[in-house]
Amino acid sequence: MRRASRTIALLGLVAASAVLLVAGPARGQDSAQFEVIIVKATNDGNSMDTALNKYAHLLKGKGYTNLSKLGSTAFALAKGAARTVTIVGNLKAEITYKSEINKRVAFKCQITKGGKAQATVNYSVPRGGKTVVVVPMGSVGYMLIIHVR
Amino acid sequence: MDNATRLEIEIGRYVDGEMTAAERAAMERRLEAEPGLRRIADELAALRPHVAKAVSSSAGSIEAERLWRGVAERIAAPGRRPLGTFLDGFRVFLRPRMAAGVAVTLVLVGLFILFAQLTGGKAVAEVTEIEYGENPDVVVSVGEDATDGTPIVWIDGIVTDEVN
Repeated sequence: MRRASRTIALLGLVAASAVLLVAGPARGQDSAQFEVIIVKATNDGNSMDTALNKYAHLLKGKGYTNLSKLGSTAFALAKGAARTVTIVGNLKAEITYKSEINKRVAFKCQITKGGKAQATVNYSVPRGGKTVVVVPMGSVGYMLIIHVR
Repeated sequence: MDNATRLEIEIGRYVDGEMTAAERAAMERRLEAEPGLRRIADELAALRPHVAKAVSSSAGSIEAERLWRGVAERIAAPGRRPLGTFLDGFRVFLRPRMAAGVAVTLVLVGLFILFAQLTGGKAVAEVTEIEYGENPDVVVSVGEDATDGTPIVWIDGIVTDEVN
């Protein structure tokens, strides 16, 4: 009986060590893929981009009724690296991949105008998830849809 | 106990003065008849003052007092164990059932961590922190899409004269 228990204990310890070795450290990937879609929102009667219909309800509260895609960009970032995306003119968004914890990508999106920081939003996003940043500017607004993979 | 040992004990009692008068008289008669026994008794008697001196000096020393005080404290507090060394923590593995319990617990904890990593915790994105920049007019508000829980961040207060 004692011998059997001792064997079970030994096997258990080996199994526990193996599981902890696999699960212990945050086994994040070294890079993350970002896709940023830039959307322009207006209320001037321009036609709605049908692909953006699903986002229309987010902007109606601000009086924007029409959405049009200005462009999109996709890029990969290593940990600590940053990429600047131009929204319009000197209004830019800087995306920085910070780290990955438990399969979630931690990154920040800093909105700058004329090189000056306006606001920085820090996110924790599961791979495959997305976030939306809206910058209303009177009759025109801009929306960033950021997909993380 | 053989006769020789018993005899030595008896001589010791004689030398230490622990015998009754009758026993003492009988022992003295025997010592007179057997010179070998007399020699043993004399040797024991010669040792006696040295032993007494050693015991008294030891009993009176500070170290001896500390030792006996420590022993008394340990006896008085049976539930208290002295702090062990680092290796004492591994004594649990000398008890197979307890070691098996520890092993099973470790496996369960590891599996839980593994499960949490594989499932990735909360399925949707989260805003973890907002930092304001140099523009005091900026106001940031956070909501979420009612359909899929995607966080929506509104950054109001930025004015631009450039319209695309």
